[in-house]
Amino acid sequence: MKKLLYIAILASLFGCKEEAFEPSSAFTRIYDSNRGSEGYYPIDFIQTSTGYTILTGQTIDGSDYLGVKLIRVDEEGTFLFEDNLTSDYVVPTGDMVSIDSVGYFFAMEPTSLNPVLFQITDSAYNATEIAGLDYPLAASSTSGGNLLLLSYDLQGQEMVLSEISTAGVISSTEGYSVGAGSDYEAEVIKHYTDPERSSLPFFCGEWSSGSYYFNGVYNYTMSLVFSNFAEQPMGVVQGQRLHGGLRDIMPIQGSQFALFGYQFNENFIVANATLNTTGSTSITNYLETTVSEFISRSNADIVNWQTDSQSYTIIAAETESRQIALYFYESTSGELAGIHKLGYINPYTLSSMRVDNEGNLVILGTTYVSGRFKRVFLTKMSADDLQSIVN
Amino acid sequence: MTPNALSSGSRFFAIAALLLISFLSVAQRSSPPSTFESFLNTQWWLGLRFGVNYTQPVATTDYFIFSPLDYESENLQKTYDVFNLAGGQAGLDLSFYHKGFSIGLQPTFKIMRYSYSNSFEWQGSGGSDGLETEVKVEQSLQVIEVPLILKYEIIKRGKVRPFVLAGLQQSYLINAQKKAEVTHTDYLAAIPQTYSGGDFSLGNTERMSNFFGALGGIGTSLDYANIRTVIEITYLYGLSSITANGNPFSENELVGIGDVNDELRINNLNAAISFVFPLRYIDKTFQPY
Repeated sequence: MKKLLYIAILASLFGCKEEAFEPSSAFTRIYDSNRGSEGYYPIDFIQTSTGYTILTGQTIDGSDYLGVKLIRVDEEGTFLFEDNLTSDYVVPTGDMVSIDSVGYFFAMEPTSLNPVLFQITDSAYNATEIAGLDYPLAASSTSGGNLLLLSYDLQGQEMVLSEISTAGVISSTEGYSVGAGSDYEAEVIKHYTDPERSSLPFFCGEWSSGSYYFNGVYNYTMSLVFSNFAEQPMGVVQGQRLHGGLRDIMPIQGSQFALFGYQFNENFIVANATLNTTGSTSITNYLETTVSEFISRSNADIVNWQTDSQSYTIIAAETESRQIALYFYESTSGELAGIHKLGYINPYTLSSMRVDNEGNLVILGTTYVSGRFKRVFLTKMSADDLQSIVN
Repeated sequence: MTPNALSSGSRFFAIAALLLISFLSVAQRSSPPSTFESFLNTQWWLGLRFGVNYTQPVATTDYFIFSPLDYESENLQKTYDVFNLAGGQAGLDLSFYHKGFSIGLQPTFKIMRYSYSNSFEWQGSGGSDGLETEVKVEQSLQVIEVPLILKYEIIKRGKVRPFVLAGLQQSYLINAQKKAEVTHTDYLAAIPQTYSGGDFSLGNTERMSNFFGALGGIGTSLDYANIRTVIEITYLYGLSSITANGNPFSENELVGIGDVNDELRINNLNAAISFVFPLRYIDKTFQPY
């Protein structure tokens, strides 16, 4: 008996349990250049079979627009190679979308101002110019396997919503006036040429089958417009000219949405709001609770993350302390379940956030290395780490 | 870096062994066994142990925060300093001795320290307005170390009894602290300007782990002044990682300065002195000193 006791004591003393770490399960990467002046503006990313493809804009000589660059990284986030398209294409436009395991995004041909649909694989890309449309502003995908594009019609002074096949053929399109006699061309151009100070929260998507939304200028305000490609919108949530509106939304169920809105320098989170999708309402009907820690005109992104037992809405935005804050809400109840901050020492900005196929959270943005050099970062938080935030 | 570091540790160890053997060859003497020596043939010993230690970190897997777009990733490898920072230890020395052999436990509170540095360089657009950043990091570990040691006395009689030892050790992490010092050198003007980028200190116990290893060493017992004094030099060879349990990137506040733990094991050079007493001191068979 004594011998067994001694053996047990020794086993406990010298036993060692090693928990293996898989580098692809979680990482933080900052894509650094030895050129101090290198300026990247990350837009969005998609997961590929071998890692991730990051869409980024880059300042270029001889153009006021941002050039297009693709950064290819492996599943551990390590840089592989770049596709430098800056000499041919400008205005990289998010969202990047993945349809049948093929990635897509839009950019603009700088002479014709037509949108260009890019089809990308792990190692190559193919560009198709879309005639009949101008100034791409935002993109998304539809449940039918097509792309949704919000663009601006300079001549008609309209926000144009189009459904486009993966081959680049327009199947549906409809324009909505920004307001009679109003001219937002200068604002749209500044959105492209001065993204740090003058970017506008354009986005679009599908909230139920065959029903779409876009956030753009409508009836003189930055509005959320519900559309089924009819001549008149189904419904509108009006903003307050360009001073108030929505930064991002995410459909939860039916007409329930998670909202991140702004009004002048204040920001608002509504984790679960039932929007009037068939009438005209004001953004002030929904934005009630300000979140003071977010920076004025912060970028924001909203995703859904699910565990075995619970569905969460994760809302990310930039804080006054130049961190990225992640707010976790229970999707259905809208109850706050946890808060997590990313980024210390140097400033961080948010570009995009996605939940990958394995339930991990991947966040794209910029940080300022040594307090001055703007660099793209990609952070992957494992599902286990996320779980510890909401417990 | 690693091969050089190992060889310097081995050189130190060899020199120490040579000095000790030389000393013992002078000190030893021969005489018939006395009652006192018979008393010592089988004995429990208990006492206190103190010492200093120096640490050699060995990276087994490099992890980087920066992923370079236009320079070699080898430039990002950390430079580890070897046996440069002194730590300390104090604890108990418990052993059972029988005819030249002894087995013992030395539960010890130990502080180990090591350091490394990392440097980054960016070229300015004008060729002269570049920036260099150096990050110096000092890692401190507080552990409870439990070595299980087998000793063999080379000379079993007399007041000077040299021995060799070998064993295993398990270290239980109590606390870990990391200090990072950032220095920038700015080449904006003709005369480079160096300034502090800040000092950062944080606890990182959750990113380190318990570890174990093997150890070997030499020493001698000195039976003077009614007490046994034991002097030892031991070399601990780490067999498991002190980091890498879980995700090294998780919750890392120093990501912004490009710092993340590599997967590391550590070797540790110890010099210790023990003052021990025989536990079978009062016995009807044997007389005290």
